[in-house]
Amino acid sequence: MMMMNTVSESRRSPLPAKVIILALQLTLLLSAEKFYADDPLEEMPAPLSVRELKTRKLNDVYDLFENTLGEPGERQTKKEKGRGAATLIPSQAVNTLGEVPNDPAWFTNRIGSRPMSIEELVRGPGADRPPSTEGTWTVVGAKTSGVTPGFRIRDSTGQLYLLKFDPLTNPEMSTASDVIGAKFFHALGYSVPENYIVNFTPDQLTMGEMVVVFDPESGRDRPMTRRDLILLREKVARDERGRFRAVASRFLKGKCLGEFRYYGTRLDDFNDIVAHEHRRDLRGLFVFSAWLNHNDSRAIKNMDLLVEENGISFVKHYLIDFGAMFGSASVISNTARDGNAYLWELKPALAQIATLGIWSPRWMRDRYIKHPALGMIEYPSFEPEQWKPNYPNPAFQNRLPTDEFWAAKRVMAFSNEAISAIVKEAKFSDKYAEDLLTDYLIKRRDKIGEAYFAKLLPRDEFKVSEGRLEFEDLQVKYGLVDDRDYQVEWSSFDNRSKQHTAIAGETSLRLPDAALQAAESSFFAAKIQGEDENKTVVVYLRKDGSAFKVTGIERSW
Amino acid sequence: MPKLAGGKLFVDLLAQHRNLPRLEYFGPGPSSRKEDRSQFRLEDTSADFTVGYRPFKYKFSRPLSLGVTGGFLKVNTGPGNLSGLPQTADLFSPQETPGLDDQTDYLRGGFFVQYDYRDNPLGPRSGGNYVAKFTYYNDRDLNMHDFRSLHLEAQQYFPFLNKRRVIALRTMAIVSFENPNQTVPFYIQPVLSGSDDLRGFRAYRFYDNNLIVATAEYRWEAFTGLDMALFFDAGKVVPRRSQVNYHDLEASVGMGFRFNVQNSVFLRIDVGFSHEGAQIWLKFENVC
Repeated sequence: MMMMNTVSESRRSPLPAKVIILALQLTLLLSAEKFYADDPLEEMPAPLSVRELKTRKLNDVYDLFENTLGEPGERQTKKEKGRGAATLIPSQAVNTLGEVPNDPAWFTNRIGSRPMSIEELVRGPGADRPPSTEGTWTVVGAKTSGVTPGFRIRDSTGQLYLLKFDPLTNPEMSTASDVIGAKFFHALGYSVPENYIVNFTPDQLTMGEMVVVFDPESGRDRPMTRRDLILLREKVARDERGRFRAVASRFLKGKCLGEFRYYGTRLDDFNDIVAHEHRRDLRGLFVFSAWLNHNDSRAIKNMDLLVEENGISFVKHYLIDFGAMFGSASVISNTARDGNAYLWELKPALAQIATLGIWSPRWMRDRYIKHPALGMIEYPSFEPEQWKPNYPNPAFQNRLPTDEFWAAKRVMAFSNEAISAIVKEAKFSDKYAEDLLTDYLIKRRDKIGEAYFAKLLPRDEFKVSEGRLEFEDLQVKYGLVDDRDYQVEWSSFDNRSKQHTAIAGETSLRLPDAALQAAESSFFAAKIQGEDENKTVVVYLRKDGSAFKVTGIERSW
Repeated sequence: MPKLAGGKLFVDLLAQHRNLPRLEYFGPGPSSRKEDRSQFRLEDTSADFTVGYRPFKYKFSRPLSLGVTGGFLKVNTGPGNLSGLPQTADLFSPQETPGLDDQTDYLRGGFFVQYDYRDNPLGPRSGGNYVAKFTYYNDRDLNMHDFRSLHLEAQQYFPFLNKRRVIALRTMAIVSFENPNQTVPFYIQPVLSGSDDLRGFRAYRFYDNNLIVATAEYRWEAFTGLDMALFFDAGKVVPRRSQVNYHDLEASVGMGFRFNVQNSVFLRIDVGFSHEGAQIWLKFENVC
């Protein structure tokens, strides 16, 4: 881990102290090894226990303006004309293989890292704890803003849920999105709530005490009454039997601390040491969001919870609220802009103003598919690189091809059967909607693979077997290109000086004799190159006993 | 007001009192002169009810409405309060401007039919709205101003480029049927020009018994939250019903900015131009 030290201007160290510090730093630097004994890290160290954190509520509008008008966080250096290549800031919170270690606060490796059964994918964060129907559900709170109503309910076991409904115009749309969105993001590795589709009649609900609801006619809060539940019929969609259909989102355990942003760190959480705009799991979230058209993936849709696990109290970072994915904008269907353009973009706006609207961006001219249960979706013209959330996101904008590759591997790991099984959980009443959404996700998945595997050399899944280095060409594996040639160069590697020494004449995947005869803990590297000489993968092997362990992977593009 | 019978029946009640201290008046008819600008005060009090029926549901709304209306209207006019501007009563006679010397109270009632299938009435991008309304005005005091009024209006929206561009067309006619030996008082006559019609002219520029107007707008989205528009308005007022046609219309052109939140327009700025000059309109609502 690299630490940055700063010296305050007002408290300068005397010169001898500076010399001592410099000497110490130099000593540390010279003694630093590229790989440590525990590399590659598969698990992050357990978090330190934190307590007494304050709730920090993020303002929705402020977040919009801050990210639209400014550039918060540390950004990749833009390449300046005639001044050479830009200095790139690689992702952090990754191990030497470029993978994100399991971290209870942020990310758990699931699909793409290990086999996941269809049952596990469908179960998602949980599938057996919907609100109990043994008794009625007591309304203990009401959503006081927004277009469609929402309630907090307590079931007969005392468990709290948030009930959210579909808009009248789009039955099943946002509830379907919320339920299957949570399952996809869970499989991808994030912490999400358990969401369940529930169908019920008004008799299932009873009024709790002191529930307040916002009255749009008076502009004030007032006590909620039974009549508000009856009037729900006019505001939300119902199924063919006249029952309400809602998503019941099980309340998460822990103290809500507000949302996490896509830049900086949470200053009162000393486990949060990597700037969010440099986290691979947040940079890579761009690719997942593009695939699932989660254009509402903004900070306001995140949640920090102070939780206790294994006796340690720490901040767990959740993604919540997936009602505005695919073709849904939650309370209405998507418009053509969703996923294609930011809410405000200066250049297209000026072009449209100046040309009186004669010039139009591509997304305005595209054809979209409309279905009440899906909203408005498109895939023929979907270009992952052109996809955009509702407004700029610092982590998304900092992404590099390595971040995209890391994410694309996970997207491509969803088989057609897996996608179909998860979509089934939306419980669409129209089979056509289910088929359409499945097809949409399969086609967009393939476009993700095409776009991001091509940006670098997509060799992965390295291992040493029977004296040979083996790997998969992911473009070949997924049928995106035919089998193709590559070149290999071997070198021995000094872990302390970080120097490579070429091993002449070794150009196959067979491990060089020098490696087979080397002492334990020796390092060797294989540089693999395809047709494009700029795209290479360097695989580092460490000799552990008589075996070799893949210790590091470096990619250039 | 309450929705009854599952939204099929509806009842609206509206009571209002207005005190407009300086309304402009340029004289009757299409040939009134800009130089004859005058002012008067209009005070009126009205209470009206509407009982309507929406027989069927289509998609997520009930587009067809049928109903009856009724109510009363009490009117008083007087001198305007803007110094330096002539009073209407000083420039025009009661013969050319009926009702100038004496105002009356009305009982009024009628019926209407409306077919509204706009996608979003607060910021329509597709669909249409068609209205026909007939109202009988019964002069309760003077027995000089009984008349019937027929209001016809059609709006149609043609979207393209995924509704980011819209051609909006609108036409409206108001035709008055005076009883024999009766007149329509000027303070209740159809008025042309304002923030919705003939936007290149001053507000309340044309008064007469009958009116016809047409508007065409090309609207385009500059970015989320701002639509822009080019518009062309044409219309006229005429004393006789037989003159209600699309000949010899006054015209204006202009450009507008429509600021919206979630596709509902909350602020509109239009700049209109005509042979009488330019006008700027600032409205906290959408154009029809």
